[in-house]
Amino acid sequence: MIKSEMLAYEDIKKQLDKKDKVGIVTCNNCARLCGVGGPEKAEALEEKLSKDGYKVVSTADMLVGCNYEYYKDANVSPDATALLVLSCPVCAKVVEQIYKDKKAIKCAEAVGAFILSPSKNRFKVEEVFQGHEAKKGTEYTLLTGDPLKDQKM
Amino acid sequence: MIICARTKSYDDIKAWLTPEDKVIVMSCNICIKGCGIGGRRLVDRLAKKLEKDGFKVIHTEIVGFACNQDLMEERRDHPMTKDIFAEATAIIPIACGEGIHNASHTFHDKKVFDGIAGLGVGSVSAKEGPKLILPFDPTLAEKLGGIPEDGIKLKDMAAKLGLQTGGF
Repeated sequence: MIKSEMLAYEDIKKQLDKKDKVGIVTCNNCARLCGVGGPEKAEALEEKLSKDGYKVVSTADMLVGCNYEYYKDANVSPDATALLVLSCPVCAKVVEQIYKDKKAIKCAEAVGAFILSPSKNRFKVEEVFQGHEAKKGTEYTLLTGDPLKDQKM
Repeated sequence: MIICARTKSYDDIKAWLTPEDKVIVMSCNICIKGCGIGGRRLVDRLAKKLEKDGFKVIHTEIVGFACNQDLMEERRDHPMTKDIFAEATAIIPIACGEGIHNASHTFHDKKVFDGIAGLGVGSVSAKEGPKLILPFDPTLAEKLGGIPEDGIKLKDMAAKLGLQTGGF
């Protein structure tokens, strides 16, 4: 599983134009477990964007965002001009490759790989990408990605 | 998904086992299956090969997500499987580095084979198979002579790095 962390909302917004018709693509695999993806995060982002005057035209709730095959029946509006990807940067690359007529906007950065324990409601980062070395061994709450101070895994 | 390649061969497994070992072959069913290294078909194939070579395979198992510690511990503790796991002396987990780590943690009283490396994160498609896009090791891109925007095919990458693909 891949641990990602959301970019600041302002940094996501900066990549949009007010005229953009926004589509949201949200992943329900790794990204949901680490608090970046899933329908809840998509709804929250849509609400914020709508309040700020952006037009959200579709939300694609993907089972797995890094598998090209799942996009065949994805709910991505043909009218969308920008797609916000609530997933790891790899999914943003996949979206970019599939929807070449739209802007694919990365909303999260990859931190590393994790193991999880639903019974303990937490996950632990076991392997990290460059720049995230300090997070190796850190445990986080499942579905929110909130860092925990103790270690149980 | 995590893009994985084999660092060891079937001969390495044979050299690692002893004739007395009671072996369990288990596989994750997500990334490693997408990479064409694991999954039910390849687990059964490995078990048959080992049996043909005189090793005692006492069980095969598929774990939905090997990176889920609970699922691994459930196999160890569940009334349906705990006896067979207690009897085993050697576990061959077909999983990414995190899955192998979980198996070592869960079955710490047994020897656990470590023959697969997770190289980074990538995509998968029916047309091109698994492709690495974001490597864990930042020097990997240099070793590969660069990684294209849409990734490098697992087979091409493994060939360049001297790693192996496909089932054991």
